[in-house]
Amino acid sequence: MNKSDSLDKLLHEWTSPEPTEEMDERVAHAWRSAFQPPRARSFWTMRIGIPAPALLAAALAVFAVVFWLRRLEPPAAHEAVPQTRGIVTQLDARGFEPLPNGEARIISVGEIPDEK
Amino acid sequence: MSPSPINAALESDQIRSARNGDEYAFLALYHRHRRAIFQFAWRMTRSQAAAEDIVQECFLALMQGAAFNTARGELRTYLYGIARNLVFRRLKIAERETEETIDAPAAHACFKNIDTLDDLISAERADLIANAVARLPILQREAIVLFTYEELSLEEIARIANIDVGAVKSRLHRARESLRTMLTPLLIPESRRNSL
Repeated sequence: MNKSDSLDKLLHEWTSPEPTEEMDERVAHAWRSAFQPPRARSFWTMRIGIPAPALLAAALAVFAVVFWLRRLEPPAAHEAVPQTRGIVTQLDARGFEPLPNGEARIISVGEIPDEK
Repeated sequence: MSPSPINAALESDQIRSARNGDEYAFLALYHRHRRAIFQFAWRMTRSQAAAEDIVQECFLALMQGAAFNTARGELRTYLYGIARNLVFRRLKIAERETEETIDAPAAHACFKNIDTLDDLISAERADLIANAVARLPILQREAIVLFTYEELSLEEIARIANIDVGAVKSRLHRARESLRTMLTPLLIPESRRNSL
């Protein structure tokens, strides 16, 4: 096929227009609509790939921090006295009267005088 | 033209990335091929709107389809194949609806600023050539557009049209003979025309 004959030169007098920017924008928009989900939707379907060793290291670090923080916690100031029948020690010394003979006496809970 | 392995590999990667939502990859592919596809579609349909639609559908079809295989040829050839099917579909619909496919100003769309007599004559000549090409049977028109304007090889055209090279040569020959006949007045040199 001869591409340089008179017919070929004549045919090249018919030139075509260039693609427009509007077309470029339209095509890009169509592609985004088809292949890029909206940001709100992509957040809920987002996936993160983490290597297993990194995930294990992160989990160990979190466990170590929690353990360390628990050890730093001060012990409770007053342990609650269990509300069970038995021997109690009255810590409140108001109205204390020593027994005349100096002997210690064991009393049951019911014998404690009501202060009210 | 044999496919360049680097380009084929690069374009395969870009298609994969674009399908996964990489806009830069898509735009790189699009800007590399959009002009050729647009001009092919415009010359076949002679409609700016139709050509723009075809470009859009062509690139979306590339993104949605999985059939592109670098072993069978370049992406450019593959895109022409998609565009060809879209053009034929449009032309058939237009024929069925007996609707004029040609935009009124499309025949000389490149001559927006006609200031001088020379510009006017050029626009007239372009119009005559465009009309002559449009009067060719569709398969001959396709062959002449791809060979003369898009400068594809006979082998590439054969791949796009899914025929053998001999059939492409035959279509081109018949198209050129028809055009030579239709455009005889424009082919006579000016000196001879004046003496007639």
